[in-house]
Amino acid sequence: MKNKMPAIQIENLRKVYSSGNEDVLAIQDVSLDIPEGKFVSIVGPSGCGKSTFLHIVGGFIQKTAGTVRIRGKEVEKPGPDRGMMFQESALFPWKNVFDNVAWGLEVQGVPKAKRKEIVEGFLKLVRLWEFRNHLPSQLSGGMRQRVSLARVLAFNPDVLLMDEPFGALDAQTREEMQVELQRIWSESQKSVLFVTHDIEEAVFLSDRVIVFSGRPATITEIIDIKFDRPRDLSLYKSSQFRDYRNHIWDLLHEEHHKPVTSTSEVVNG
Amino acid sequence: MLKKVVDKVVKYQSILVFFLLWEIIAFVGVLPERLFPSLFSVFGVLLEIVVSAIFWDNLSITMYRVIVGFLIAAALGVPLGLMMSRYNFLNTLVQPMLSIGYPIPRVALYPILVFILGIGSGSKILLITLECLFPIVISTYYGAMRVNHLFIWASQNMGANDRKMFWKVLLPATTPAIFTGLRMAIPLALIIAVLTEMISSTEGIGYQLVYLSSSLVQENVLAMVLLIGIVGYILSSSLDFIQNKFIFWK
Repeated sequence: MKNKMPAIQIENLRKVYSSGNEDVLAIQDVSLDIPEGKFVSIVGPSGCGKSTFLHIVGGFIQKTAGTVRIRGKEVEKPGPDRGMMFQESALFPWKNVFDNVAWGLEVQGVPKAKRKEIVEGFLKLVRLWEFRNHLPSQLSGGMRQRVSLARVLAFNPDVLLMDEPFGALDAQTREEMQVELQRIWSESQKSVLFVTHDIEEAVFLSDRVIVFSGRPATITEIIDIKFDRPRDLSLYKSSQFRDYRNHIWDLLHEEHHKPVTSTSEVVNG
Repeated sequence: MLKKVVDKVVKYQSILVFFLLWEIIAFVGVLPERLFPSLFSVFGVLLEIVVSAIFWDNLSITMYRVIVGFLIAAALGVPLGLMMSRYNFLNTLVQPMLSIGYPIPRVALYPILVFILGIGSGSKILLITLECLFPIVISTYYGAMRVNHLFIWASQNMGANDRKMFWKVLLPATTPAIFTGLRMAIPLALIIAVLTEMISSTEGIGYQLVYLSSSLVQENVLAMVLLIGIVGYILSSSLDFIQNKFIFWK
């Protein structure tokens, strides 16, 4: 029975922003299940509210209506059951790599010896144990995001929420990070909700891709990606990969050609 | 070694030029020597003052007032500025007092403080604290408002409660701005200490300055003013030293 329960369950999620006298509908009644242990991505046109959606699941932004449940438990505010990884590195610049990863454990009262063991394990998993005494400013962008990933994994959340974590990296580092993430993810067995504007990244990494429409965000289509794992970068060249990619591309671009009024819908109330 | 000397000369060139111009004017004698003495005689007096025990007694009293007043202002001002950035009601409460209180010449309140606390250190320390609070609170508040919100989100995500987030994330993230405020406050602390000692005191370097100026010998006054400048410079440099220890990560 417990295995049947989705890791993340979102029902009729709605977000309305009030700016001045106008209320702008950002997310319109989205319902979504993330099955346990699956990697699910959300793609959508920029500014469609996919990051807002993730921030609501993380508890950082208040929703207007609907429910978010993590393993059946309703959430309202941020908490360590959902590990959030941000686009920019949110590492603390005044702490070295080791202390950054250890801090979440320290906050949660994990004893020092146990902390060291856990941090060592995850820094080795992301292959940065040798850099444990470096400050974040001494690392490259890709290395910083690997530390961010270790930091999130270290406090053992039920699910991972990733907000365009590789968005600021160059194309080559990005592909390396995708392979790395897949390796680390398959070892950790976490359920992932991953937001990106990069279609290929979504197809390469995910078991399922959810395509969002432009503002207000609704679900346009849900696509299951049926590739075996582990996947390697040569997958990019396969025709089936191209088919997935082109299909999603079409969905996003139909969106662009919709009349302008639908992308700036205004509701009263 | 030579390069170091040259670097120092370049760094303080404006002061050297100022001294040089001063010497030229004093040498030419366009102004009476009593009003415009040569810097050599000023330095001579300065040395006499520095070797006297009375100067060090006065200096230690002034430093006590400066440092205690400054530290109280930092201990109150930094948490207040940080809390204002987190709690809107507190900000609404304090902001008007800052905007109205900042332009007021607070030293005008000194006679009232003397009436309440006497002419000892209490009234002076209180005024120094009051003076230093403004730049410290304002810099801390605006610095905290500009802290990357992802630091705060990340700490909440890891399960930090408000208190942990406040002291372990918001405070360190704001330290660069806090030190900007402290840097502005420390010379103010010295100025107010000297000023209040000049107005009413029987000890401190401000008192010594008034005492020396009553002799109507300009060298005495100038030497004392120069010494106060040097003390201020040492105070600021010490703060820079502490700042570099704290903000090694920038």
